Parts: sequence; C-alpha cells; structure tokens
Amino acid sequence: MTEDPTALGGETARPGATGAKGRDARKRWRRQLFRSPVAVVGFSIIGFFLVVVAFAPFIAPYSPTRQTLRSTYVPPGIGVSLRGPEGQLGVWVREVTRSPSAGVVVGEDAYPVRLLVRGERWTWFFGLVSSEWKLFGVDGPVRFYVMGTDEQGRDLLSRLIHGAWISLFIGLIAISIGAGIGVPVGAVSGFYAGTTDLVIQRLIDIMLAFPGILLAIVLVATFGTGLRNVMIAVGIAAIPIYARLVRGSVLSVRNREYVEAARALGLRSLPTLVRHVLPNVMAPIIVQSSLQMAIAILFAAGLGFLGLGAKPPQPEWGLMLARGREYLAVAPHVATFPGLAIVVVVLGFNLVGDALRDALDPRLAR
Amino acid sequence: MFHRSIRTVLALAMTITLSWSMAQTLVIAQGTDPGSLDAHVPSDSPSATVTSHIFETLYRWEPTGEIVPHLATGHEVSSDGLVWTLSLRDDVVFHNGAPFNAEVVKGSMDRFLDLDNGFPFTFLLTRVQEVEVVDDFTVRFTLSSPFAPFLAHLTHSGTAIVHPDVVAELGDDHGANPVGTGPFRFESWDRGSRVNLVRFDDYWGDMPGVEGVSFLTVDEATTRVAMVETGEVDVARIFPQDVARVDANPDVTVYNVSGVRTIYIYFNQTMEPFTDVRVRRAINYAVNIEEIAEFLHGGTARPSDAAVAPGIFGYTPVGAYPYDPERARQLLAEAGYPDGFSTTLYSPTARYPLDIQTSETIQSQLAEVGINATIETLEWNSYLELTRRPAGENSITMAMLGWGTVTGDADYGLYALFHSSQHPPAFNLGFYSNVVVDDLLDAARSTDDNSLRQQLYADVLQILRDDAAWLFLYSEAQLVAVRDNVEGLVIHPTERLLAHTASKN
Repeated sequence: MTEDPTALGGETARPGATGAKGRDARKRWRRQLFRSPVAVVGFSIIGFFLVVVAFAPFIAPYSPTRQTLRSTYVPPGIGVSLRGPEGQLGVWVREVTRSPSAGVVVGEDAYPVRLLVRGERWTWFFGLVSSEWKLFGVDGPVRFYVMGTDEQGRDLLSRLIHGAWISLFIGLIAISIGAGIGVPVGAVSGFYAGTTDLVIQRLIDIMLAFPGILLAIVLVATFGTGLRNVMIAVGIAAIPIYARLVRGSVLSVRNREYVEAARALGLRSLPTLVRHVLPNVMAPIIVQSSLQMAIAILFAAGLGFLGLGAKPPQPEWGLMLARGREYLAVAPHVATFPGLAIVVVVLGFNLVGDALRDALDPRLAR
Repeated sequence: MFHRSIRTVLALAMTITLSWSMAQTLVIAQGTDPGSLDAHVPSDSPSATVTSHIFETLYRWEPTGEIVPHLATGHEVSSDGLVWTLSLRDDVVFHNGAPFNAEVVKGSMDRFLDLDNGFPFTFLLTRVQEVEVVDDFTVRFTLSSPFAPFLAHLTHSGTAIVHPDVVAELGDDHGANPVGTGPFRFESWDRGSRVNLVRFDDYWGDMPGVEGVSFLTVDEATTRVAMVETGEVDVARIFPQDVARVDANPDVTVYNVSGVRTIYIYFNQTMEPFTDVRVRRAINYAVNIEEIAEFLHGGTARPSDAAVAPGIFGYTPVGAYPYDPERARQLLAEAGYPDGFSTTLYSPTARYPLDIQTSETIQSQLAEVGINATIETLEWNSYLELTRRPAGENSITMAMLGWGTVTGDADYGLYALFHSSQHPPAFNLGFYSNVVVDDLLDAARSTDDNSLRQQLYADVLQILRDDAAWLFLYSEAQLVAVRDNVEGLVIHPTERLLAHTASKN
C-alpha cells in the first residue's frame, strides 16, 4: 500500500495534497477518524472485544463447559451482596442451588470476590501460555455467576467470553475469503473490461441474486454444518459484494493519467493493475471489510441460531441465543446476554466502518 | 358505508367462527406436522395421533393396560396357536358410507402386509401368512408360527383398517384424503399448519363430546405454552422447563403421564472400543443419570432400570448402574484405556425434550473419566437415515434415540431393538448380537403362557443390563398442558392425545 495517505482517497484524491504534507495529512486523517464520539464508542467496543478475545481464559472466571446441574438457571444477582457479613464493602457471594423440589436455595456463608485469584489451570495461545491466575474469583468454595447460569449450570459470563474468539475468527476468515477472491475478480473484471467483464459480472449477478444469508444457508446445507463450513459459506457470500465494489472503483481509476502514464512507460497490464490501480481502490475495501465483519458475525450467529453452525457445547453466541430462547419464560437472562453481546459487537464494527468511511472520504474532510 | 357493512359482516363472521370453534372444537397443538394421514404410512407419534381419530384398529389398548376388542368383537385361537379367527362388528360404516366387513379387513391387511408398500410397521405382523374371509363378519388369520403378541400388535395404530376400494381409487392421495371408520372424519389439511377433523355423525360407538378436533402444528415449545395460556389452543405438549410457569396459570393444568418411550444411547457394538463390555459398563458407571433426571429434567424423567419402561407387559426392574466414576476409570484401565479415548456422540436436537442438553451433560460427565466425546447433531430425518444405514456404511459410534413401546408388549420394544435379525436398516441400530438373547426373544414371542413370557423377558432384560447393551438413560414422562374447561381427554401412554371422549365447557 502506498505511503501517501491521500492516495487512500482513491478516485477522488485531490491533486493538491501530495507527499510533502504527508505527516500533516496523517494527523488530519486520525483527527477525522476520531472526530465523532460515536466513532470513539465504536473503537472502544472493538478494543474491548479484542482484549476479551486475547485474554479470555484469564478474564473468564470458569471453564465454559463446566456444568453444575445443581445450580441451573440461576439469575444474575442472586446470592450476591455488596456488603460483607461485618459490613465491609465489596462483593460477597453465597452458594446458590436450585432443585425441582426445593426451588432456589441461597446458602448461609458469604465469601468475598477478589481480584487476581488462583482458579482452574488454563492454557491459551495453543498451549504457549498456562497459568492458574484469574482476573477475579471467589475466595471460597462457591462460585460467582456474574450473568447467572444456563440450563446446565454453566457460567454464562465465562461462556460469552470464551465464545468471543469464535465470532472474531469467523469474521476474519470470512473477510479473508471474501476479499481474497472478490477483490482480484472485481479488479480483473473492471480493469480488462469487455467480454471478461461481461462474463464475470453475470456470474456475480447470479450470486447477488441470493440474499447473503440465504446463500450462506444454501452453502452450509450443501457442504454440511459446522463452524469451518460456516466460515467458508459466509466468506463466499461476501465475494460478490467485494467483486462489485472493487470493479466499480477500478473502472473509475483505470483511465486516470497515472495509469495511462504507466502504460505509456511500457508497463504490462497486470503489474499496472497490481502496483497502480489496486492501491488506489483500497479505501472502499477497508471500509467494506469493517462492515463485512459485522455482517459475518451476524450471519454466523444466525446460522448458529438455526443449528447449522457451531456444535454444542461450543459457546458460540448464536447457538447460546437459540438455546436460551427455549427458556425465555423461566430464565430470560440466558438468551439476553448472548443477544446483547452480538448486538454490541456488531454495532461496534458498524460504527468503526462508518468512521473509517467518513475519514477516508475527502469530500467529507474538514 | 359499504366499508362499514363489510366490516360488520366480517366482525360478525369472526365472532361466529370464534365462538363456534371455542365451544365446539378441541384444538391440540403438536410439535410437528403429520407426514401423511394414511394410517399405514407414518411412523411418528404426532401423525399417529391424528390418524388414531380417523381410523380404528381391530383391538384397542386401554390406558389401564388391557387389550380389548374394538372393531373386532372377539377371537378364537386354534390349539397350535397358528389360526386366529376374529369376529367383527356389523354396525360400522366408513366416512364415505361404505360398510365395514370381512372383505374390507382382508383388503386392508393385505395392503398392510405387502412388503412392496414399504410401510414402517409391516414387521409387526410378518408372521401372518394369510388373511381369509370366512363370512361377512368373520376373518381368519393364519400365522407361520405361534405369535403371542398378536393381539397387542393389532392395537398398533399402524395396523388400522383402511378401505381397500378407497385406497385403490385414491392411490397416494389417500394420505391427504383419509377415509376411515373413526369418530372423526377428515375435513381439511393446511400443510405445515393445521389438520381439521369433524365429528362423524354415523359413528358406531359413543359420540364424541366435541364437534371437531383440530391439530395445530407449532414447532416452538414456548409458542405452544403461550397459546395454551391464552386459550388459542386447548391442549399442548410442553417441555419440562415450562411446567412451573404453566402450572401457575389458574386456567391450565399440566398432566404428567408416564410414557412408554425409553430414551437411550446405543453403542455400535461392531466398533472399537465398544466391542468391549468393560468399556460399555464404564460408560454406564460414568453417567449420573439420577442427577440428570432430577436437576436437568426437573423430575419429569424416570431413570431406566430396564430396557423397557414400566407399564409394559414384560417389564421387570433389573436395576440401574449406579454413578461411580471411580469404577468407570478402573474398568477403562482394565479394558486398556487408562487415559480414556475419543469418540463421537450423535444426538438429535429438539426431537425429544431436552435431548441435546442431556447429550451435553453426558459429554461433560464422560469427560470426567477421560472419554472425550464430540457431539454431532443433524436434522431429524437425516439423523434417522444416518443411524439406519446397513453394516459397512454405518459409521455411527454412539447415538441417542428414543423408542416408544406403543403396543404395550415387550416384544415390540425388545425384539425390534435387540434381535440380531433386526440389524440396520431395521432398528437394532447398534448391531447388538447375542445368541442367548435371540433365543429368549424367539421363545417369548412363540408362547402364549404369560408367566413364562414374563420370565423370559426378565431374563432378556437382565442380560441386556449385564451386557451394558446401551447407555441406559430414562423413560420420558408426557407433559401435557390442558385448559381446565376440557374434560375427558385421554393422554394415552402410547403418546397419542385422544379426543374421543373429550368435551368442552
């Protein structure tokens, strides 16, 4: 990618802003990016999300699959008090059990919640990191269910945190597939024009004729269910979007003076496309990718919700939502928290996408 | 003006239909749409529930456990047990006015027994060699060998009497335009949504107390709960998690009726490591089924102490495996798996109440003893197809299924599931083979000495337990929410909801 930030503006790059003012422009770009408070919110959400993914087993108090059948459907807040037995400040928890005969029973003894405690041993980053330390936990033989438990007595918070990487991973893979195939196809189509363009675009039309989620469902139904196939399906569903977008951008750039100059200098078409055209259509691709991330997470959750994605007991958010819906009347929190998590993360990526678009669009500068 | 009058008429019409349907039609919500309304075709309980209102069987299994004549009036058996002569009612007519007689029974049975038709329950009566008309209201069945559960099998809704002429005329359309002898005749079927039946005025037996019965297809358990709470439906099957909420409603009562359906996980006994009985026993010791029944199912499941449920002829409690993870680890070590092993657990999802949740719990409990099971779920029909593949193509390792012994006789539950002649595509899905069990099962279906049969089945159940032929789970209770203005609804152990004697206030 070119160092010249104004080149990010692509087809609408203004002739005046060139390399000499690069640093100023970069600063201005950054100011643009964080100009609106909404964008800051978006970036904060994504930042928080990434931190959660990176430190999942450290932040999550318990294992996402560890069940306690004696503490099912515990709503958040039960057995939790903000004062200790002797009036100390802090979070104190009591044991909560639930049985069909006795109902919800809250234990006698309260134990304090502390930061940095030893818990179950965990490993992360493919076994590179291993520790017993947890960000927080109970100093005693009871469990602290921040968001309550599900139908098998699993800690919802731990499941949400451990499920975060699934969403991130699906998004990244789907974008890689979508952009990896869609961008070259769109670029070739737009750059070579003529019959090539016609043929490719009709194929893209066929793919675009299906709504994205439907295309993904058809693909998963064909190739079989499971996370891997969901990633591929959501990625394939994104191909036509990238292809169309890139084609349009390339069409507007291909007859520019600098492309003609490259040709005049004897550069063959493929190097021209790669070195001079593509870098100048990067901006819409970046914007599209952040929006596509949101779409991919939503699609994946949708497929998980339909039982086509993750396999139980994987803590995939869509699957958790689908499961929680069955107990909506008895334990609304089981569906609420995964739903909120999906909403917030998707919102975050959308806000970032909007901010990027505004910042990269010189027409909106100043 | 015009609009207003239209609206008035509409409102009036709606009030009329509403009051009519509320007062006279019993509305039952089920989870799945019937596949076919032809009595011989479907193999699932929701379909059979509908066909049980339209069609009738020669014998009937009372909820109390007795087998009583229904379209038949009585029977005589030859001393060698091979010839059964059944006398028939002479006052029965079909919904189209055609009379019911011995010719009809022969025609219906010949159709049912024709292997080319591929009906799922033909196996119930494979020992019937010939059906003959003796006179107008007498019919004779000749069997190839004595068959004790003969009458029990004639109570199965899959053997109900259809009219051969109607079937010949309609062909496959019969499934969408059924004509039977039952107390309700078919009116309309909005596929995927509802089946409407109306009372048959020329019914030979006691007239039902409602003018019609409608079966609504509502696949979401939560929606069914909401509908029964608002009165949109009168009867609905619900799931354990909703019992407390529905019970709190003053207009609705939840009935907990023990069922004949046993839920189990079978092992493919031709595959390592399940060929080793120690591994199968270890798995049984590793799963805390008491805790699952009590806390996950909220007490609505009964831990299995035999391979068939109580209430079925031939049931003898032979004891459940206690929860003993230490013993499980020890057995695994003896079998050569001190560190456990990895396998795949196939599970249906939302076919049975809390099925996938139970599988997840089992997965987690197996992990405690070192068995690492990955759960595979599939859409129900693909799932059945996969589990029923013949040897060589069948790659299932362990899978959860349920079996309702709907004839009330252990032969149906045990022969079909454990006899070595019943390997897939029949229903002995785990390829269980045990010569002793085969002999006992053959003997038990060939004698009519009930105490001997009881003893033979007790022996079979004991062997199955010692062999750890399954991971024994639980028998289901049927949870049915019924609005309090409904009386006389029968919640049959065979998972049929019967409106024959129901009335609405």
